[in-house]
Amino acid sequence: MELSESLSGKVLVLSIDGKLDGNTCPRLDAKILELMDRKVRSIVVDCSRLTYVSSAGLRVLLQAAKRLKAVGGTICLSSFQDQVREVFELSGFEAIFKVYDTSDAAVAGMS
Amino acid sequence: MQQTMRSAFRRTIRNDAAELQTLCEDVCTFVEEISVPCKPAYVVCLAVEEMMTNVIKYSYDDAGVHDIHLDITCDGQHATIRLQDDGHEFNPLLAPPPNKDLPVEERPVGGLGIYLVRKMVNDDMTYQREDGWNILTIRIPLQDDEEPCGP
Repeated sequence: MELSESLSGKVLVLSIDGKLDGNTCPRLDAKILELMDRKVRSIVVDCSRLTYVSSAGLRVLLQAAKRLKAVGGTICLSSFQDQVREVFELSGFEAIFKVYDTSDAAVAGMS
Repeated sequence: MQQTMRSAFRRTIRNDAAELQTLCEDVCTFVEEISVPCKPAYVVCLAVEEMMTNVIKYSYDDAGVHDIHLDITCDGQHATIRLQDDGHEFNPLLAPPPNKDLPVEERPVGGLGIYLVRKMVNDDMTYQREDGWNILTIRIPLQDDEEPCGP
């Protein structure tokens, strides 16, 4: 799993490439904490290259949403692949996260 | 792609997170190698990760070393996962579903894994307790109208 970031105005786009499972999710958790330390408050998680997510990965995203909400920030998601979308829908996470078709749409929606 | 060959994967690991990590990687390689279509391949990997994580984290009342046995067979129609552990009696089919209506601040961070797997396999799961073993069997249909997943 690789993480890459780019800044679009005040919105940070974080792309996940690969699998978000029990093994890799601590790295996403550490990255979110690092971004929050850097005072980033608006995050789009670009999932276009996210091929797999398990409940361990969902937990880290939920934790991120809680942390950001506590400091007045927001996190949203974009560009799901089919199976990842199904897992999000089944877990009810679409009620927690705003999900956009593309990261550009997400950035526009947050700006 | 139609699966005509019967393929099998069998492994015993200890209740150890590092061993589980290697196992999950090997299971995903196995389903790729036998060209299981995208969706069932995902479900097989998810079921193994979620159910075995659960066993390792919550199944044992002592700090000792335990064996967990995993068997996966694919017969063209279904992938069948059989998991066997000697932890305390636990029937995942009786686990309560998560409350999906809670606001973000109140949603517990755990409890989702079993629910996700049950939903992904439409509850095609059986549980038995035999001679001190939990035996969980999960059946995943292998649709043949889909392309196999790339690496």
